[in-house]
Parts: sequence; C-alpha cells; structure tokens
Amino acid sequence: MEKTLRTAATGLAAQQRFVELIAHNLANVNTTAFKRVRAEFQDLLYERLRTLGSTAPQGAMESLHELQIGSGTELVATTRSFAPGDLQPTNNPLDLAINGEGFFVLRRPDGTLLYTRDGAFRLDRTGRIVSIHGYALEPELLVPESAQQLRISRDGVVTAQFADGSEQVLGQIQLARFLNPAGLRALGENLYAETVASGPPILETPGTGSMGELLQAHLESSNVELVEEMVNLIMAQRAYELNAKAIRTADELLQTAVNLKS
Amino acid sequence: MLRELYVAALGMLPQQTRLELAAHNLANLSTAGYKRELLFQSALISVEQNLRNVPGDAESADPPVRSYTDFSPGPLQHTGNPLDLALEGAGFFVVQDALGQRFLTRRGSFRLTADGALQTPDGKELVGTSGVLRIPLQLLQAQPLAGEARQGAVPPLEVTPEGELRVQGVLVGQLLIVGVQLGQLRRVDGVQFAPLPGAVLTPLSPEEYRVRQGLLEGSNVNPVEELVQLIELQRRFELGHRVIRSSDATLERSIELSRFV
Repeated sequence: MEKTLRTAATGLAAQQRFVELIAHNLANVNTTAFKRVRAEFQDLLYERLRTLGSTAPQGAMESLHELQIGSGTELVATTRSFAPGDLQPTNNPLDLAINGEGFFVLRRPDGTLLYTRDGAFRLDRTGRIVSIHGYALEPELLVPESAQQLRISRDGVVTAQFADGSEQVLGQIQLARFLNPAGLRALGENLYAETVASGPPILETPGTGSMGELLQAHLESSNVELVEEMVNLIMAQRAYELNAKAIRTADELLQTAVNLKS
Repeated sequence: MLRELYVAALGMLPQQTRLELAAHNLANLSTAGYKRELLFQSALISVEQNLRNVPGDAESADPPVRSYTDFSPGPLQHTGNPLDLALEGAGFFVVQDALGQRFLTRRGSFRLTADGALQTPDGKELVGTSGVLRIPLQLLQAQPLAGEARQGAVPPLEVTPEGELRVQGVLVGQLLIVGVQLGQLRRVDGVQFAPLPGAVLTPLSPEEYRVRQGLLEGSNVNPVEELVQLIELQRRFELGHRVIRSSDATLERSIELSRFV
C-alpha cells in the first residue's frame, strides 16, 4: 500500500514537471524564434516478485509467472522541437529570418561560438552587426558610418548603400547547420551551444541545401502551438488527477483494513 | 470458521497488488511506447476440490496472482522530430547495448550520436539488417548533388515506410523489424523487452509493418480501464472486509453461546 503511495507520487511529480514545461512554452509564445520543448517520460525500476505455483520449467511461459510491479515514472529528458516558426515582416533592415534549418553564428567576447535563430540584430558603437545580446555576428561585418542603407540578399551578401548612390559589398553571412539540432544545449535567451550529440556545425552560405535563405526585415516567431499546449495542459491535469485517485484509493483501502478490527 | 477468515484475507491481498500495478500504469500515462502490465488472478480452489472439501491453493502462502504485459499498440502521436519513429502494424525495433545484448522495443525515440549511431535515451543503439546502424556522417554533411539541389526536396535523414534509412537520398541501411511470440519476451522496463533463451526472432518483411517518421507511439494505458480497476479492487477489498467482519461476529456469538453450555 505504501508502495502505491510512492508510485503515484512519482506520477504526480512528473506531471507537475510537465505542467512547468508547458508553462515555459506558453510564456514564450511571443518570444522571437523560441523553440518549444517537449517532455519525455520513462518508467522506473521494476520489482520482481516470484509467485508460488510457478512450477513450469524456465521457458515459454515464464513471462506469465513473474509478477512485475514497477515503481512509477519520471521525466527523463526534454527534447526541443526545431520546427520553424512563422516568419513575420518587420520594418527593421537588421531583422533577419532563416526559412530553413540554419542558425546564425555568434562569437562571444571570449572567442567561443554560439548559435541562435533569433535574427534581431543591431549595430554596436563600432558599427559591427551584433545580436541583441551584444555578441558579434560571425563572420564579423563592419558597417561604415556613412552608409545610408543596408541590403542583405537571400544568400547573405551584405551590401551598404551610400548617399551618393555607390554601393559596397561588406561580406557574406554564414549560417550553421547541425546533423542533430535536438542535441544542442540550450543556454537560454535563444542561444544554443554545440555538444557531442549535436555534432559539429556545418558552415555554409545561406541558400545551400537545406540551410535556408535569409529574409531581410523579417523575424521568426515562436513555434509554440497554443492549441497543442492547451491539449497537453488538459492531459497533464487529468493524468495528475488520476494519480491522485490512486493515492486516495490506497488511503481508503488502508482505512478499510484498519477498520477490520473495530 | 477460521478458514473463511483466511480465504477472505487471501481475497483481499491481491487487491493491494492490483492497486500497485494500476498506480504504476497510471503513472506511465505519458511514457511513450509504454506497455501496460496487467494482473490476472487464478481461482483459489477448483470446483472439484471444493466439492470434496479438499484444501486447495488457498492454503498456499502467496496470493496466486500473476502479471502479464499487454502488447496492444498505443496511439500514435505527432512530434515532427525526424528521429522519432513509430511502428504501424506488427513487430518491434531491435536495439543493442554496449555488451552486444539485443532488446526489442516499440519506442522509437532516438538521437544521433557523434559516431553516427541512432541511440535510445538509455544508450542502446538501433540495429539494422546487417548489425548496428551507422550513418556515414560525411554523407550527412555533404551537399546534395546539383541535380537534387531543389531546396527542401531531399530531407537530410529519411526513414521510408519500408524501414529504409536514407541520408540525402542515399540508402545507408535497412531497419531490422522483428516479430516474436509474445510469450517469449521478458520485460526489462516499461518499453524494452528481452527475448528469453530459445526465443525465435523472425525478421518481418516490409509488407507487415510501416515505419512512420516524425511520430511516436504513446502509452497504451487506458485511463478509464485503470479507473474501473481502482473501483473494482476497492469494492473487492471491502467485500473481503465484510466477510471477515461477519465471520468474526459469528465466531463471537459461538463463543458467547459456549458460556451457557
């Protein structure tokens, strides 16, 4: 009976975690390029109880003679879905969206590379194109102060236009692609770091293969699907209630047992 | 009289086991690929034994309950992750651990390792018709051929319904999907099963199954059935309780009677 209480408690804890994840997804429904997170559950250890009367020889029927009772569930992993979000037009020429699998490459001051889908860029004091975190876009692109307009082509070529009508090519943006984006480590703030599981980044210019092209003056919105999250929320709540029901049943059985001797 | 007490108590004990199982099944309502464990209770005393008043199994020490795994399929859930695979129809995926031991599972959530294997969350690797599947990573990194460069036309990693693993359109392996007699499996955990010694694993032909990419098989726990179980086991427990209370009362009367003899 005590085991039931503990088993059901693991179910309650796991569903509570699930609700926390859903809340995190819902809270980020308006976060640029946010990628939703999915929960993965796994069952816990099994206890094998041998029952009397299992006289049949080891073999075909063994699975019927074993009494196996597991001890609940746990949330083992969270998987991020890198499905694309909707691309929304903005009026900012430094807003970029990728309509494929690629990631922007950012260089932190300490030299390490980070990856993001959030294409809301700006210029820093020296004219470098930087992310909203202040990290420089890789390869570094310097925009001359006298530039009037910036044009970024679909394959990432950044061109500055000057007041006299002349143009200057500043460079080409490189994107990174991963064999297994689900293996990336999320650092928060839309930043991801490479891991052994994600594999090394494959650097290519936009427009090659499945990398995707760049859209200037567009931003990728969050890929959180409200309906899906609401359905998950309902499921989590019902699962929570069912586990609570198991606890209540255990409690009532205990009470009945206690009442055997009045 | 005491025998009634004993039989009633024996009827109550398996209800606790049933409750433990139901709680475990309910806790795994959200575990992908989970196969529920059910209990069946054998009769305490056969009819014949009862007629001849022969003490039956009721006198054995353990309540005669056994559990078995329900292998019915769970609902398919869309995830959109290219490394999530679901099996429609018969069969199991085969995964192999570091020691070379093979396990069967219907949970097809894999991740790509640095050396190109498809790995389960607990570190076992997906097996194909010619050993553990390895994806040549240089193939994944290679750009699609000029002719196929139409964007998005060729997904980098594709699993066909027949179980062919294709990278950039190039066939790199065939998933091994096996069938087995269900009595020949031993549960390892909620989603993985080990074949018992002597079990025959027959590779299935592609007509007998369909591999669906981007879907996962959900838990086959049915919340309504588990709830009914909860109600039923509680009532059975209470019935046992009634029997014990009334035989206790009868015993009490008999003892009182003896005072006047």
